[in-house]
Amino acid sequence: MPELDIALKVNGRAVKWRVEPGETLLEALHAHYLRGTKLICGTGDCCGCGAILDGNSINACCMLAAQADGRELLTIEGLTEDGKLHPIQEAFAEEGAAQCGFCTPGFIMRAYAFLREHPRPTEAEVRAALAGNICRCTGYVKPVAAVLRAAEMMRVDREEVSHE
Amino acid sequence: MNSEYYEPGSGNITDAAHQYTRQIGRTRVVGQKARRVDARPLVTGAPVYAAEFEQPHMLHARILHSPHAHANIQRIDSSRALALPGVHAVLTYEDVPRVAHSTAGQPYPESSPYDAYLLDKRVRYAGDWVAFVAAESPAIAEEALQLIEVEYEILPAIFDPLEAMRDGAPQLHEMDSTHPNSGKHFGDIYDAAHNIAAHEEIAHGDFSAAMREADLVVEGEYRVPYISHAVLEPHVCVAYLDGYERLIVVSSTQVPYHTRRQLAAVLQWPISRIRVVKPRVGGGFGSKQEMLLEPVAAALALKTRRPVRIEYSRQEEFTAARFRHPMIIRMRSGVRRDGTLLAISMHSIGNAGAYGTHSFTVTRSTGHKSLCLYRAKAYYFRADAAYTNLPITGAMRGYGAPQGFFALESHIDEIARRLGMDPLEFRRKNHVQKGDLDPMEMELVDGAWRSKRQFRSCGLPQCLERGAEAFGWEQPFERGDGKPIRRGRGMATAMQGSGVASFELGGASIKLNEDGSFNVMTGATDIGQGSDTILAQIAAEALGVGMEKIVMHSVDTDTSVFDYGSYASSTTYISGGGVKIAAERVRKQVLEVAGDMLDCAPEDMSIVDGVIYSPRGPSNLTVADIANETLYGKHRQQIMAKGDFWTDDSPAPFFAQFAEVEVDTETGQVRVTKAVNVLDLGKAINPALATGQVEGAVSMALGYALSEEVKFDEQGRVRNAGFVDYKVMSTLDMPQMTTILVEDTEYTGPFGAKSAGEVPTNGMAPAVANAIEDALGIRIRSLPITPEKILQALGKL
Amino acid sequence: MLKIAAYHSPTTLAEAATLLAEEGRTVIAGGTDLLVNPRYMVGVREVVDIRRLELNFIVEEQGWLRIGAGATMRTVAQHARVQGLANGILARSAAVCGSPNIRNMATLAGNVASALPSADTPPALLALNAQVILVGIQGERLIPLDSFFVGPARSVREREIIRELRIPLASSDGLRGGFYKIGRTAEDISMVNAAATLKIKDGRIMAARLVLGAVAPIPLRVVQAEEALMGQPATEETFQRVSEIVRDEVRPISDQRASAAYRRSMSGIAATRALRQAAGLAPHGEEWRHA
Repeated sequence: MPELDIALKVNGRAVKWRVEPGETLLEALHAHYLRGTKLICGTGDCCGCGAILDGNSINACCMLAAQADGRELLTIEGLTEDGKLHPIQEAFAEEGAAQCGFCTPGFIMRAYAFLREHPRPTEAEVRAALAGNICRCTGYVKPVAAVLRAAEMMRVDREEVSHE
Repeated sequence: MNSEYYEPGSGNITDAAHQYTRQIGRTRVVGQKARRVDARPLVTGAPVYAAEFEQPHMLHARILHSPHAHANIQRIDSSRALALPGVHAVLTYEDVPRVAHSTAGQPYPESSPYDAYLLDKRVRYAGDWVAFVAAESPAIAEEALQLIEVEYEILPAIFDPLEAMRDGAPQLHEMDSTHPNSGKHFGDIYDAAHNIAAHEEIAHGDFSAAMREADLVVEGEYRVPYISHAVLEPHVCVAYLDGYERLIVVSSTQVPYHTRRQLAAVLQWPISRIRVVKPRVGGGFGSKQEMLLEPVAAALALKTRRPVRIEYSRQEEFTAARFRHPMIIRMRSGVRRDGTLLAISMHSIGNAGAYGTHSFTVTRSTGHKSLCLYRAKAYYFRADAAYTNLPITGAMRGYGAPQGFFALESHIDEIARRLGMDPLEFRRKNHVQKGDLDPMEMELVDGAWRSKRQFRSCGLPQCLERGAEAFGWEQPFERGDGKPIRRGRGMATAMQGSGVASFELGGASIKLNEDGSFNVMTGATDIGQGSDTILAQIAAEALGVGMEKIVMHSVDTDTSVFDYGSYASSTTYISGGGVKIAAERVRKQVLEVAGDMLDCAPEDMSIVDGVIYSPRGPSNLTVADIANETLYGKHRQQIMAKGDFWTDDSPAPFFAQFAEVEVDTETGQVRVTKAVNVLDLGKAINPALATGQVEGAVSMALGYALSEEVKFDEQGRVRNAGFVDYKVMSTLDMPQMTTILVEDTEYTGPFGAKSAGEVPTNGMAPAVANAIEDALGIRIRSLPITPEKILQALGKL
Repeated sequence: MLKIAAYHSPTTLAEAATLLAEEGRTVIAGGTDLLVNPRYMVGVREVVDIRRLELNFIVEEQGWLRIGAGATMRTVAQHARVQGLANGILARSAAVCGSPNIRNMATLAGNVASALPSADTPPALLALNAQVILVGIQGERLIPLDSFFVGPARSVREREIIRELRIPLASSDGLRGGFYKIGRTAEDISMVNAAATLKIKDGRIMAARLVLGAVAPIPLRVVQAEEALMGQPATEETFQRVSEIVRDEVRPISDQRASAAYRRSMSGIAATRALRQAAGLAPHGEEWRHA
């Protein structure tokens, strides 16, 4: 099969990837050692492969890598800066929101997209935002609490920045 | 029983608990909401799972599944598949040893029939294994599957367990007299001619006599469906030969040691040359208490001498992994008018599917783990597990108990209503009490009844009291009579075990490093429940150091101590017990060296936050100083110890579930709006992880109650093999939940702990059914409680 | 890895139409149906991405609300003009289609092109009297959505691209709508759904469209019910009577989601609830099953 070259930005870095026409974005990520985005259902029904494409949260399992050409992608690997956890990651760790952890990157990426638009969410809004993310371990109590806590932490961060 | 750790006390269990609590004193690490030891890799998406393990030159395997529910393979030709470029091996039943075995991840000898073969000439369900392929890529392997030519002789299939047990029904299995356990209790099929994989009867007391005293006899038949673990990380493993011709298997498993033993048997390969490694596991829930893909990858790795990776697709997880046993459960009980339960009986008929893995123990547990919740004069329990040509049922969180408690706790509610009693009051009047003997474990010894199991801790009264208070059970409640949306409230209680009595072994070895840190090498398998964290807390507490000084390692069968694995709610109690023993032994070694250095008796010394204390107070020595002294100084030695724990007991955690529902009487839709979950777990080693266990179990149980069901077509093929049609709960389906932990000290457990992981799976389904009766006056005796069933019961459909 | 031999990303409609003229090629937009449902890949070897065709517009123009084929479910759901149309039934149906991530990928036009009887948005689009503009090598044609669907996953679309969907605004003026979805859980494919639009003057129904999903091989306009609504008072009694007609007219099947009997029964309930919303008669709390 003829391969094709795509150019995109992944976690802030410009990359050129050679992909196959039938390769999903998720498969391309895995092929490039970005394994944090998990394959869980492969049919777009669990949001476990959530990533941020041009600012929107998407499922990497049900789009072609070729469709990401020219776009900007953020994955779970891109959230940590200089080894420092992002507040959402910090909140998930602190609240015990990750049990087996396999769904966790998908939850965190979805929360990331959501909190950018809703810095002061209610619990009901958080639940609605996470409605497509399947978790089999937590009953969602702690992931929802973690997103609410992350919102708080991120507000504090922003206020600190604005006071500087 | 391990006497070094165990202090059974004077026989007065309350005194013993108090004495134990005093002896522990104030804990510094245990009881804290410590962050998980694996939190960072989990939240950063680090490649720590088996799914992400890779080897150079790795091949990818796929499995050809039978499209037929029951067939003989007449002819199988893999030549075209083998000719496909990139294909390295195709294995059919002609290419692998025919060894009868059980895939159940249980101690040897497995209490499951030896009815399985890695590949067989006969296939027994749509999804059964026909051939394995290893190729350069998953896509090539997939393509090769299409090129394997198979001719089947279709055999009559049977899907209904009741029909399967009748004379003349198509027979799935013949007894194999060649297998090593033939003729013994374990290993045999109970009645192959009638497709009965397993059978059990437990009786205590004079049932007929007790029933004659009854003012009211209540009967009911309950049905529970096939459900899937829907585990998020699928079954996945990589197998390869190292340079020393040893077979290394990296697998997402709950039972590394059982898998090693079973692999050795199936592959006819020595145990000494197998090493099973368990990295992080993305959930198990019992689906990985099973040898599943390991022999596939291993057989192909031995054949090709290349590393082989295999991962089940989501479709395969829903068709060819393992499932919870569906059951038909018949209850019959007698009570006095005053609400005294006299006699209680249960007959459960489980559907084993095509192979009997876990069938005996799961169907046995349905009654064995549930009926002891109530005091009665007499008990009778019978279980049968029938083979059918449907996918294989096995272990799943709760292990037969969720089925049993749906029947029992619905039935108890029905009895209470018939008597006009508050169901909570009925339970208070009849439930098991501290000090009671387990009626399911009775033996007649020298003319006297004796039980192997005594309930030394029982926080059920507190569970009921605190739950009712938090829920507002006594408060006035608006049911919305006459309106289209009606509301109701229900409750249920439950219990479980902590490990399998007499069938456990677990623990750790611990060694000291120069910086005062300790490697804790345990065989206990963290599958997401957080056992690495719990065990680290236990080790830190017992050693007298902070959590940051504990380096967890689990599991590698080459280096970890033997452990039966994570199942049966055993990890905290059994493996935790072993870790505590190991830590106490290491602590003793540290203090012996310190005592020598400080000229002080070790038994008068202690370690607090890594500092050595003598009776005079803190010394200038730390654990790191002792480490350096032992590794480089005069007291040269490796400070190290192991600890094991096993017991012929299995302390019961208790649980109370309260639920409020809203029912749309026009659509039949049910929504749970509020839930209170109360767990008596003895001691919360880590309250955050414990509540996490409860919340997750309750959400699983809510799916069991309302929406989860694997459905089959007339050929026995799964119709809803994916999350799009197998509906698990989402954030929007979950009620507002309050989780309360009750700590009734179990003095035989580490720091007073018993178990937490399974028991909360048992309450929600009956609580919802009971709440629906409260709302509508209708009784739904079959799960899941779908809108259609509601409307049918209301006479609207 | 899907079996796709080539990926095309044309930048003009003409180029896209030419590409599509060849056998074995299909359109990919969001990809959320195409890539996960094997039925859409039968006979497909190559895909033509419409992302670069600049079709992600939602504009009001000359009496039409034009929704380009690139507009995602989320943009539709959040668009103020769409939200203002007939009580926002199209926005609301888009807002319950799949999960948040899927709604960031899936397009409204894709939901129409997939032509599944259980789809969430076609009933609302039909109730709004939408039209489809198809572009192929032969040129452009305009199809009323009423005559677009042929059967499950089948439509009149040949080797063509949906360029846009459009909704007449003049007739939508003063139109009131209702949408009701019945799923097994909060996030689900519909077991049954219903969309209704009504024009009510002095308490009487002057115009009505009523569409049911997942109860027939195609999203079903219940014309007999619409006729029965005409001229009637917009009351509970009228809607109850009409729901009987709906129940008689639907042709549901039994599948893994629901039985035919349940779907038939629910078609009446969903229709009544959608009509109640349109008439402003929905009791508080009846919306709890959907967004």
